[in-house]
Amino acid sequence: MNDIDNDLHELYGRFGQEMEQVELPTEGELMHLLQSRSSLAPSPGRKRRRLWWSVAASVALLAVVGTAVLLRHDSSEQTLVAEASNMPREAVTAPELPDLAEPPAATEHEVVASTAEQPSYTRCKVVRMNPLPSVGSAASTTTAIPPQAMAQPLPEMTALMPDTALADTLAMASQQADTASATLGTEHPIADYPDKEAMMVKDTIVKNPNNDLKAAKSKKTARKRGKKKNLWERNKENKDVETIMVPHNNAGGSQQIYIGNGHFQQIRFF
Amino acid sequence: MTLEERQKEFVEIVKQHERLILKVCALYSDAGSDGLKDLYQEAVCALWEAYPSYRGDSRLSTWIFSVTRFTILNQIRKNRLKIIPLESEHEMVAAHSETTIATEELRSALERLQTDEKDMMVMWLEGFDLDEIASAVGMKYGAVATRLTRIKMKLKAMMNPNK
Repeated sequence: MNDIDNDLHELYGRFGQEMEQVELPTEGELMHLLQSRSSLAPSPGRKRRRLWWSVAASVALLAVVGTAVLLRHDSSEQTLVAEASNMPREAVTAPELPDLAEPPAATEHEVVASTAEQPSYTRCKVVRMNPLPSVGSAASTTTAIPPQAMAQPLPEMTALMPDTALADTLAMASQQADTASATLGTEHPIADYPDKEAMMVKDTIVKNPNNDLKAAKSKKTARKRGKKKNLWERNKENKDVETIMVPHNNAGGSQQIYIGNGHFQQIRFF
Repeated sequence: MTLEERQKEFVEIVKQHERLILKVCALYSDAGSDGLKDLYQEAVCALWEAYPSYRGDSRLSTWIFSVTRFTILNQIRKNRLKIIPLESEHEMVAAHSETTIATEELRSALERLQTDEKDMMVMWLEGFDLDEIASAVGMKYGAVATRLTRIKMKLKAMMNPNK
């Protein structure tokens, strides 16, 4: 080991001697170098300004990216409707935004199947009463929606009902809603209403597992009631219920329903 | 203390450790004599910028070694991205051939080591204590002693392959 130590030290010594021969800057030259570098170095104020500029640029970039993402989201929704209705994308009008001035519990839900330009699609309006009946409580449902309020046929619905595609959709929704009611084991008020078809679409809105959970105002109370757990367990057993279930307050949302013969119906909620 | 006084103090420190800075520049780069001077100046500037952050926790030579080594490696990494024209490439080859035999021999031996092994070996050759080497490379004293023995064995095998 000493041999290698000696060899390495000897080699390093020779290397050191060679380095001694290299001319290095004098003290004056070093001072000049430092002074020239000091003048080039950014001042603290300049550094701070640079930091603020970088922060502002990051925020601007985030804003641009966010806007782009939002715009893309809108256009993709339009594309979805166009694809579902076999129409050119330009023919599909962008959905109207909900009027925020109105209270969220609006008395009107609009279900858009497609645009009126396409004969096999229709546009209809479903009027409902507030508050929505809660799942699993038949008594409150009965009192919440007076049957006479739904008894009158809606004007727009009457005008456009010849469309068979929507009728099929509503029939399918009715069947699934019945299944859901059976699964839930509750007395559903739909059978009592004369305007059953209109209620079917509404029923898909009504069946919201979180209604009672929201009303409970606390997770603890909700857990005591056991609604969420039981309902989701039941939904798992019946896939049809899952497909027709529409989330609560689904304003601006949409749902596709298969109506047969390779056609899908796009239902949008305002 | 005024800026000029601080500069004078710093220049004195640099003059005391100028050979150490130059050796680190030579061992961690393959620059010729001109390139070596440029690297030396870069190292001095980097040391000047880092000087206010020196708190005296370690020996001044250890701090100078660490900052210089980091600056040189950083500079080499930046220069790798540059496109070198053919004329200057010829100049670089000519400058490289001017470097002396001992430097080349030591450099070629150290080049075969891993980065941390090279750091430990250079510091040991430069006469740093095992404690200082351990604190510089972030290892324990015993581990450094063991590693150094192995590195020496490795170098011995590389430099005298027939023995």
